[in-house]
Amino acid sequence: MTDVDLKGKRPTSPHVQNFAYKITLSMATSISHRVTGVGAYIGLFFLAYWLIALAIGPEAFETAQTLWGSILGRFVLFCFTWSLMHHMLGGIRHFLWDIPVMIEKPQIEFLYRATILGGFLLTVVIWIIGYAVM
Amino acid sequence: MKTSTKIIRGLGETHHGTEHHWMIRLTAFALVFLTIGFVIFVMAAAGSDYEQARALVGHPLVAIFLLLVIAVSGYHAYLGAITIPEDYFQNQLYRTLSKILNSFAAIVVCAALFFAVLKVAFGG
Repeated sequence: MTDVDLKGKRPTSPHVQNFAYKITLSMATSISHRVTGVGAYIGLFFLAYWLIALAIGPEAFETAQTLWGSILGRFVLFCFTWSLMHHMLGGIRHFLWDIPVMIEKPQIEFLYRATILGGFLLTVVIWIIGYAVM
Repeated sequence: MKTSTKIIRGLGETHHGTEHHWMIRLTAFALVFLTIGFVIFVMAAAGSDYEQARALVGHPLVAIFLLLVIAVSGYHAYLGAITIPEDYFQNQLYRTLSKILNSFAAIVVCAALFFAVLKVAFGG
């Protein structure tokens, strides 16, 4: 250990920033769970805009409704739907592990895939129902 | 290597990890049902005009439901977001400032949402 320079270039452990790790599903879903959680937080502000517009009056509400009904507005809502569904299924996955069930390695890998796929499926189903009832 | 639980309790990184874990799971459990209801609410509200939207949000059951969504999701969002500076910021000043910002953001958005729903519900 005499050749280790303790003051200059000390040996560093691998960390996420320099991609010293191979990206795994557990890492990807951990990150996406946090990011979609932040997305839901931002969604509260979107909801606040819509509800405050409704509380202010007809003109403000009409502007909000036009904005959310536009192509861009629908695109944001579509992405938000996915974000919320992905986060919800991630939470349900954590409930299963809290019980704990499905904690064997192949089951864990299955749950990652099932929740990722489920997020997309629920989003599409919600929008199909949404357009069908409108 | 045996340490009494009462001696080490509350000495973790944030001093209240167990309560945090329990509350985030409790609110998450409620939010599974609230989220499903909220998706239905958004579908009902989509494309509605001013009077229809006021009637929808102003309905006592819908208003109560929305207040629950706001309170539970606001608390869940606050609890979830606070772990981000706790994970990434070693600098205590940045960590504390961003945790304060999180508290303010959550309180402000919930207060605004609460007021908007109540104003519509009470017909002001």
